[in-house]
Amino acid sequence: KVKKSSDEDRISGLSDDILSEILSLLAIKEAVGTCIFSKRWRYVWTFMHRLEFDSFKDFPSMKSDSFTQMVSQVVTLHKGLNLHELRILFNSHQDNSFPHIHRWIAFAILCGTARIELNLSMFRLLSGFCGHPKVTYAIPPDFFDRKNKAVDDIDHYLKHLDSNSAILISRSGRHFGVDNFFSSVRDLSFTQVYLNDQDVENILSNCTSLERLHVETCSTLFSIKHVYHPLKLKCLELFKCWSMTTLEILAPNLVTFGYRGPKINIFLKGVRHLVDLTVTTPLICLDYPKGISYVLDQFSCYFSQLKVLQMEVEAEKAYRNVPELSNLKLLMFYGEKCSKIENSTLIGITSVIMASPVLHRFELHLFRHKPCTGSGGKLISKGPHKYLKEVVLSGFKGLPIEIDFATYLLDNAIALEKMEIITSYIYLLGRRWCVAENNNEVHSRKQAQLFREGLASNNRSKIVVS
Amino acid sequence: MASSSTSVVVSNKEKENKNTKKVTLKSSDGESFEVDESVAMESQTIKHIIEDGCANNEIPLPNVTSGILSRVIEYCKKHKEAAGESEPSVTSYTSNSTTNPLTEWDTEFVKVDQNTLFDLILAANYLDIKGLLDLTCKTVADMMKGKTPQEIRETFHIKNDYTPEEEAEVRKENQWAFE
Repeated sequence: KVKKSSDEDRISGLSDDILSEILSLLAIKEAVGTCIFSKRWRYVWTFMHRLEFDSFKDFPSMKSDSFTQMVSQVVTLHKGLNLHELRILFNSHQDNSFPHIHRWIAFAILCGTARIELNLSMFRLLSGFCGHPKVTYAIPPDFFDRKNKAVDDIDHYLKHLDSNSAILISRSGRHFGVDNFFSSVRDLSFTQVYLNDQDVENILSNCTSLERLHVETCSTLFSIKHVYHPLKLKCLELFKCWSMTTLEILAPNLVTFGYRGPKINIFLKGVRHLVDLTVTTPLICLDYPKGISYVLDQFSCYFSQLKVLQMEVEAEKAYRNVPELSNLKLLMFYGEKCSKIENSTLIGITSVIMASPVLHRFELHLFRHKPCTGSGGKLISKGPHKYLKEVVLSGFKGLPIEIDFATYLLDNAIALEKMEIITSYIYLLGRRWCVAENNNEVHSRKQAQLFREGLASNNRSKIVVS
Repeated sequence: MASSSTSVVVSNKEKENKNTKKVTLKSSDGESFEVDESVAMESQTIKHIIEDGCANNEIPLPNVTSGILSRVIEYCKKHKEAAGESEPSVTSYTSNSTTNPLTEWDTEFVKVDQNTLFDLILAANYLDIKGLLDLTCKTVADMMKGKTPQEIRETFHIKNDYTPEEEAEVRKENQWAFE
């Protein structure tokens, strides 16, 4: 009986390499679940290039003990070859999970994983802060230290793995090693993990291929000073490290810099290629820098080279003399829990828009802002903007001040093609955009539609409400 | 007037010929395809052959049939044309998050039967064309998403050769994946 060619199992004939490429595109549960297909498939998943465990997205109802067991089980069975990325997002701060976390990082180090993300944050923007963690996981002090002579490289990390993984790794010693890690790691991201100054210094000194470093919500980091040897770093992001006092780096390859923290003097030496700047500041404490003025203070010397600028909205006095942002293509403003958005805020924003002659796209993302009582008068036009084509206004509630601003943009941005008005809250979580409901969404959408309807037809066609 | 316009046309043509070096690819079933060298170099494998100076008249590709090769060439041509400037790496919010202008064309390109799809994967792997390999792998991954193991077996005609005991063992080993 001749099998029809359309009934042939061709997928099982593909190599482990190609199949693991395919599995790396699936969620971890589906990918590991392929082990049940047939004998050939039993261990295909153990060759995957990416391992991502997002307890919020993929395992929301899983208890933290089960989550810990699951990740450790995967780490034990995974072959550890060609692992490019390990991403773990998880919010347990019970210290019985800490030995497991050591194991996961030790595994990543020994496999020479290029991209590692460990996010133990308990903060979810709109469900609010879930409470202060009782204990916070801290990176073991010598994990990134090559010079500590008491540490005998592989063995030191092996002791953090369970016996199965340890045997696997020590037997195939050729593939694994701490040297692999330090020269292979390209992207490190730690959120709600304690690192101290020495850890960061070790990372910067020893991880010679490091291109991106992201440290968030780390109150044990005070000072980063690395000015003698130029870093290969292309992207540095320091968010919510409230204890910081010093930041000085020599980073001639830096393209992206993001900062949210205390008002300190920041020295970025030699950053000729910096094109992407994000500086957002909290509104809570008085000592912290307010919005745009801090950015102007610290970074105006880079304004002419920036292509992307992201800042926090603040209610403040209007300011003039914004240095020209002659290369700026994308401008984004965020307003988190603004107590009120006043006219002066929007004048400040429009000053920045007008200082950006080639601006292509503007986005304003507001969330949980309260309506302000006065509107403070109309925004005065400073002349047309010839390039602005796309505008996104999110968290729209139909407040008079938002309407005035949208009208201002429609009147002055003569090249405008599309204005997207979004009533939901949208926010960046790590690198992903998330959407959350604005509790008055029906009302807001109505306001947006009313606004749209009231416009002249040529403007009406530019607006998209969602 | 007439003579000057013809001379303009001629010199343009000369320019064209000088810039487009061609290379011939030969499929496993003996068919030859002449393509611009720059398009052929979308394949890293072919690029290395050319750079090593081993491409005399024809480059034989014994692992790729003519049907598949013509599709691969179509892909490379389309993507070579569209190679534009790089977008800033920042994630700006877009409601339809397509930054690749060829997304629609790519989607149509992979609407093929399974056999062709797997042939394309093997060709993209052999010829080392990253974009095509990523596209075809993603297509297969999408065919697997949201389906039960039995549904996936049926889609791809995978035969379950586990004994009941073995299957139970595998389920136990990765229990969490089956809950």
